[in-house]
Order: sequence, then structure tokens, then C-alpha cells
Amino acid sequence: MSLGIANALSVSSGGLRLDRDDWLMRVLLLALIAWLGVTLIMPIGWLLIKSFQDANGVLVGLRNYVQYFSTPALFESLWNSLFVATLTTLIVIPLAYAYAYALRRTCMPGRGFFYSAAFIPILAPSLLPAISLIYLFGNQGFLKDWLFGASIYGPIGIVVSQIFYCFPHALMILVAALSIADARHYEAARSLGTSSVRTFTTITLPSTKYGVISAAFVVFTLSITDFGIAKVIGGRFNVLATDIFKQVIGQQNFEMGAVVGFVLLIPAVVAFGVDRWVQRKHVAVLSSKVVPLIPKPKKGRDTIYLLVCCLTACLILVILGMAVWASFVSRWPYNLALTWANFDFSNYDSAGWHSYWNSLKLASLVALFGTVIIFVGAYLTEKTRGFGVFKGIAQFMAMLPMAVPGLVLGLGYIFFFNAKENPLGFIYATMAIMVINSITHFYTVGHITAIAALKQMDKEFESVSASLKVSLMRTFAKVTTPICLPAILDISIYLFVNAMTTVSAVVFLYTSQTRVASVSIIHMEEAGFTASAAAMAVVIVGTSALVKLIHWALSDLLVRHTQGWRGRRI
Amino acid sequence: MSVVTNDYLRISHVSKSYGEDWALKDVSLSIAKDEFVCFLGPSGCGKTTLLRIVAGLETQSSGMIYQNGTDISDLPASERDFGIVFQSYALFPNLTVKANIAFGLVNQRLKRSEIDRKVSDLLNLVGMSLAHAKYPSELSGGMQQRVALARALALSPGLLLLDEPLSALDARVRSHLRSEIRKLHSRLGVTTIMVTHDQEEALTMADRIVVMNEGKIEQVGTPQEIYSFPQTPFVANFVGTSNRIVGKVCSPRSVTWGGGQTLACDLPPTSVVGQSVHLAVRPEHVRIITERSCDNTLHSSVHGIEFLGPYCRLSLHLSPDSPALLADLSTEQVGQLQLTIGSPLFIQIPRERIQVFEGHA
Repeated sequence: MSLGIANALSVSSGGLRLDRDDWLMRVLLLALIAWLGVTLIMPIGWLLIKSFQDANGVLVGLRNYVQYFSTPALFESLWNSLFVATLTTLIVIPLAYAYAYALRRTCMPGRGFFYSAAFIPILAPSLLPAISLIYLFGNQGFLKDWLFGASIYGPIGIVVSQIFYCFPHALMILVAALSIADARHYEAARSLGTSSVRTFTTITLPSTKYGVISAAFVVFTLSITDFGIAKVIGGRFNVLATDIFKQVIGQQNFEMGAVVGFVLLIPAVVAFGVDRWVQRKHVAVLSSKVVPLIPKPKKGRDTIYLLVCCLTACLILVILGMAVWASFVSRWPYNLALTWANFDFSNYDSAGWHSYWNSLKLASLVALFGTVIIFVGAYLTEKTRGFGVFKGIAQFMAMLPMAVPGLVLGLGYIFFFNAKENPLGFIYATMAIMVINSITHFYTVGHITAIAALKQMDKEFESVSASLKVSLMRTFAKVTTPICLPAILDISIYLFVNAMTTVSAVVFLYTSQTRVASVSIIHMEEAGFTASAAAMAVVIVGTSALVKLIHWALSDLLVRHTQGWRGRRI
Repeated sequence: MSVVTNDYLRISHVSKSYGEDWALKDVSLSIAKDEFVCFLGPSGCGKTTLLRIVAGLETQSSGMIYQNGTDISDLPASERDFGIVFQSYALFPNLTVKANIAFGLVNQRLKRSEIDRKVSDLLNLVGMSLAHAKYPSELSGGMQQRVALARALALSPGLLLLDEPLSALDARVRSHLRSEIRKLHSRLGVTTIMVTHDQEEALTMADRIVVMNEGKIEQVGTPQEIYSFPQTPFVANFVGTSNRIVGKVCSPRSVTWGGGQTLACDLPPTSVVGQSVHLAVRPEHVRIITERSCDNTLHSSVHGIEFLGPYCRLSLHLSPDSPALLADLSTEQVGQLQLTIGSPLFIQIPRERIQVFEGHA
């Protein structure tokens, strides 16, 4: 095997001898592949194998699957999941499109405010909207009558919560898609007397088609794989994500958990595959010589979009506000006096504030190590000379985590790292396994961000370094990293916020010592301490928001500090 | 097995293919020490690929490269001896002009004072002594290119490679930098290869021009040779403008073409009567005469006049069914002759100005 690696390494870039940098980068690239192999591919592989075994580890072929599909209660969850995810996607995409259109293509007032308001949900764990909805429409909710007798516990609650949770993710993609437009196309359309509806359907919509498709897949995947919302507000409405949890934690039926996990993997992987396939056809229609479109005021249109945005932003703020309010209320709905008591978590949960400090630790470690691994990994994938096959493998592996639901990855970690024969078993039940799991789970977005930043740099920096006899490591430290610092900051903040809010990635991996805040929310909610659960969610939002503010301040400082050289050129 | 030769750089039978496509086909070339050579050709002719292969930034599919007597064919770029300037300059945007130029020097274990001295020497050399604390984005394109040049020269490389260094600049800056680079070269005497698609650039700057087309070398020669004695129809057309005439050999010393005109020209001894040949005549070599006196006098009429400032380009019809012939005339002469569309005109094509290409049908 080591001979094989040595051979693979020295397959030169087509004839030239390898210099020290080439060797270093190839070894590191192989290390990255090995890392992703151990933290991503092997756990998923183990999960797959497990789904073909019985409780004693004997291979039983498809028996578990046959059992799964012949158990109506389990099978029904598949349809429930697909139904909820489809409905969420169908509602979120048009809404987010209108919102993004308002932000980028109209002169509606308050665009900056609406932009920021829409991103609040990203800072919150997915449990927060579910808890708020319980306060609003639950058994003791003060707006319960608005549902005309229907129950918020079930598909209604799930879909509404997921709309809140998925909205900013779709919005981000659609705002980017609507940001680029060539004014000349619109001028040409106007000079030909084209109606605004036709202009929209023939120019605007086609040019943002890929953004819409991408956003749709992101929302569908997020919503079908989310666990927290269905757990809190799903009631007796079972979905795949909650089924896994019930099988594994409730019934200790790991094999059936693996089967459900695999079933959940399929729609996510299909969505991922189709999206990749569609995006490959996407050729940039806009050249660098675009005349940017600057929207002109148009009273009627601007007013309509203002109303849409106000309504949407209001709903977001109401849901957030409800959670904040609830976390301060003494005893809902009987005693509405405000109190800090709900924040005294030790009264409601054995871990108390300890779980919050664990979350902070987890998020910081994920941000620190994740950023280094992801950025260096992206650099290797992008800049290693020759070695095309391995760069392709690394690139593929880096994109894969997007398609793997956190629960499935976590379950795979149980199987893989808990296996008796695994020499890495010592990290089981430590903070380290949660850090590694989270880095892997959130790998893809960071990788895409890093690759985009690296691609913006002049391709010849490495050539110049070679001609100046400067090692790539020095160029990496002195040139690449400083230039990419904004992207690096973005990656670290993304990792921090996601590690802070995630439930599904870590719910199988924590111990009483390493329990994190989002898990405590579930526990307190289950135990009936909903106000404390809301309080913990609010603490998480506050932390994420604070970190985000620090990030803004840092970015601002960075821009000011480096404006000498960032100057005109991007 | 090294080959004893006086050439500083020798490219021997270099080919480069991408799957089925050939970017370079069996290219051989020698470059003498201190020479300034231009690779000239249209985009996609393989000139940049050849330059990058010399630098070790790309790998030839086959063939050898020798620099200063040693075989460098399989050396990685970092172990070759060259400095390079790119069309995009590729200056490090987050480093000052000084740090950019010192980037390679810092690795050479020089004393700080030594580095400072070298950097200021280099800045003086490219006429940028006041800019050392600036960032690239604060400089104009022409200034950035000078900094890139200084950086490439910092390690005193044996070979300077310039990849379309001037094409991102506007016309005035370009012609100024042209002569600057030329002066720099005669001062430093560093062997230089410059890639360009601009024939004027190549003609004014190079000691020798290598004209390339479709992955092959068409002709190598001094600017005068390339311009006056193009060896292929491609060169005749790519460098300067030529009238292309397709005719048939009608006697050992003449060719008929178009509407039956006969041109006396110096045919190669191998040509046979009836064979078709390509002739090329530059517009400025077409003479206007007042009477039918000597060889190759033709009668024509003015079909179009294009005003180009100091001179005019006439398009002439010799007979209704022959293609137009271009002739350059000073604007003053056009005025004197009171030429307008339809004016009849006697022209003469001196036989020594006719280039004959055999075997290019």
C-alpha cells in the first residue's frame, strides 16, 4: 500500500521532475483525502453495512429493508417527509424570490433593514421557531383560535417553522442571482416596447433560473433532513428524521436506525446530484463588461414589494420576539410577569449553564480547526500541480457533506468510531468527536467559499513564485492568505454559527459531560420546561448575533486597514 | 549527452498535444546569448505555450530544451533560471512595490541593507524610484508593468520571459514602454523572449522574430528579413499587408493571372510551365507611373480610396473579373494626381518586389 502511495505521488505533472513544493502539496492532498475518508466516507460506509446486518452483526441481506417497507408506520414517515419538504420548498422559493427581487430590483425604502432582518433565522437553532409557534398557537397559545380548530402540532407547525428556518438560505442564493443583471438587456426590451410581465419572463427569470433551482434543492434538503423542528412540534406526525432518533435512542434498534438513515440519504443525495448536473450546464451569460442595472423608482411596484417585505419581516420578528418574550415570562399564560428565572438553567436541566459553555467551546473549536482544514484543503485542491485524479477525488469528497444529513452522519459516527476494532475509538464520547463531526457536516459551504476566493486571484502568482525561487508555503502565508482573509473570516463565522445552533449533527454523539445547548433545549422542552427551552434558544441567538457583530466590526477594520491595497481592484 | 553549441537556449523538436489537438508540432529553435527574440503569431498559434514550456510552467509532450548547455527539459519551474512578466502583471496586490520586488530577494539570505540597495537599483532601472511604498492598485497599468519587470529582473536571471507584456496597456503608454524595454535590454544584455500578437511591437523591438502559426514555426529572421522577404504566404499576410496573387507559370520568367495580365518575376528554377504559384506584393511597392514604359506595367482604374493620414490606400481594378489590388500612395501624391473613384491609372510592379511562393496552393 505504501508503495502504491509512493507511485501515485510521483506520477509527475506530465514529465517534469517534482520540486519540494510539489511533494509537499501532494502529500498534504493525500492527507486531506485520508481525513475525509475517515471522517466522512468510512462512517457512511459503516452505516450502510450496518443496515444489512442484524443486532448480532450477522449479514442478513435486505431483511431490514423488507421489514422497513412492510411496517406501515415507518413507511408512512417517508411520505410525510417528502410532503413536508415539498410543501416548504413550494412556499419558500416564491416568497424568497419576491423578497430578493425587492432587495435588488426595486427602490423600496429600508432595503438594508429588510436585508438584515431576513438573516436573523440563520442565527437561531431550528428549534426556536417551533417553540415560538407552540407559544402562539399551541394548546395554551393566545392565537390558537386562528387555526380554526386545527392543531399546530403536526404538518402545519413543521412547515411554518421550516419556512422560517429555510428562508434565509434560499434568500442568500436568490439575492446573489438577482444581483447581476445587464442593464442593456432591459433597455433593449424597453426600446422594443416589451411589457413588464414579458420582460420578467424572458429576461429576469431565465437569467436567475439556476439560482432558483439551486435554492429549491437547498431548501428541500434542509427541510427533509432537519430533526429539531419535527422533534419539538411534530406531535404524532412522524418524519424520517424523528424515526431515526426513535429507533436509535428510543428502541436501541441501531440496524433499523441505519435503514431509515439510508432512506433519508437517498432524497438528499438525489437532490444534490440533480443540482450538480443542472449547474454544470450553467455557463455565465454575463461577461465582465456588464453594464450594471440600477433600478429606478416606480411607485406602485415599490409599494407592493414594501408590503410583501414588511409582512415577511414582521413574521420573522414576531417569531423571534415571541421566543424572547416567552423566555422572560414567569408562568405562561397565567402569570405574565417578567423574570430572569427561566435563565437559571440548573433548575430545569442537570447540565445547567454547562451545556452552553460546551456549545461555545464546540463552536470555537469547529471555527478554528474547521477554517484551517477547509481553507488549506481548498488551496490544495485548487493549486496542486498535476495530480488531476486526486484533486478530482478531493473535490468530490468536499462537496459530498452537503448531501449527508447531520443525523445520518452522526449515526455513522456511532457505528464507525464505536466499532471494537477501530483504533480511533478513543475519541468516542469526547468533545473531539463532536468537533470532527461538525467540521465534516458543514464542510461544503466553507469549501465553496474558499474555492471562489482562490479562483478570483491571479492564476500566475504561483508561477511568479516559482520563477523567484520562493516556496509556495511562503507565498501562501504572505500573499494567498492575506488576500483571502475576508473569505476566511466568512468561513469561520459560518462554522461558528452553525456549530452553535446545530442539533442534528451532535444529537447522537454527546455525553453528559459534553452535552451542548441545543440538545438541552430538546431536553427541557420534553420535560415541559418550555420557557427555559426558549430562554436557551434566545441565549444561542444572542451569542450568534454577538459573534456576527464582532465579525462585521472585524471585517470593517480589515477593509479599512487594507484599503490601501484593496483599493479599486477586487 | 549535452550538445556543444554557442546558443544560450536551444529548443529541440518540441511538441505539445492536448489529446487530439496539437498546440505545438515539432518546434526547433536556437537563441543566442543576449538576443531579444519575439514569438509572433495570431492567438492560438502556440507562442504562449512555447514560452510556458521554456519556463517549465507547462510540459512538452516530446522534445528537449537546453539552457546554457544543460538539459533542462524535465526541470520544474522553480529550478530553472528565468524571470517572467505576465500580461496581467501578477503583482501581489497586498504587498508594496518594494515588497513585491524584494519578494524573491528575501529568500537569498541577503542582508537587509543589501536588499534595500538592490530594490532601489531596480526601481531606478525601470524609472520608478519614487513609488516604492505604493501598492499596485495605486499605480497605472504602465507603472505596474514596470514594477513587474523590476521584480522579474531582481534575481538577475539568465533569461527574461515576457508574455504579451504590453497588450493590456493603451497605445501611447505601449509605444513608450516598448522603447524602454528595448533600452533596458541593451543595458542589461539579458537574453529575452517576448510573446506578442502585435507585428509592430515585434518589428520595432526584436533582434529576431519567430513567426508562428498553428503550432509551427513559419519563419525565423530579423525584422527586415521577415518584412521584406516573407517565406510563406502566411508571413506575407500576417506581417504587414500583401496583395495575394494566384497565377500560373507561363514561361520560365513570367506568370499569368487574373484577367490575362502577365507579370515578369524571378521564379525558382524548379518551377514548370502550367504550375500554379502564389505571389505576394506589398501595397507600398506598387508604383504609379505616367506612361507605359518598363516591365510589369498594368492599366487599372481606381475603385476605392481609403484615407489613412500620411498616405492613402487605393483599391484598384485591373479588369472587371480580377480581384482588387491594393496600392499605397502618399496623400500628397493622391492630391497631385487628382485621383477620384473611376480615375484611370498606370501602375508598375517592380519584379524584384514580387515574392513567389511555391507549393502553397
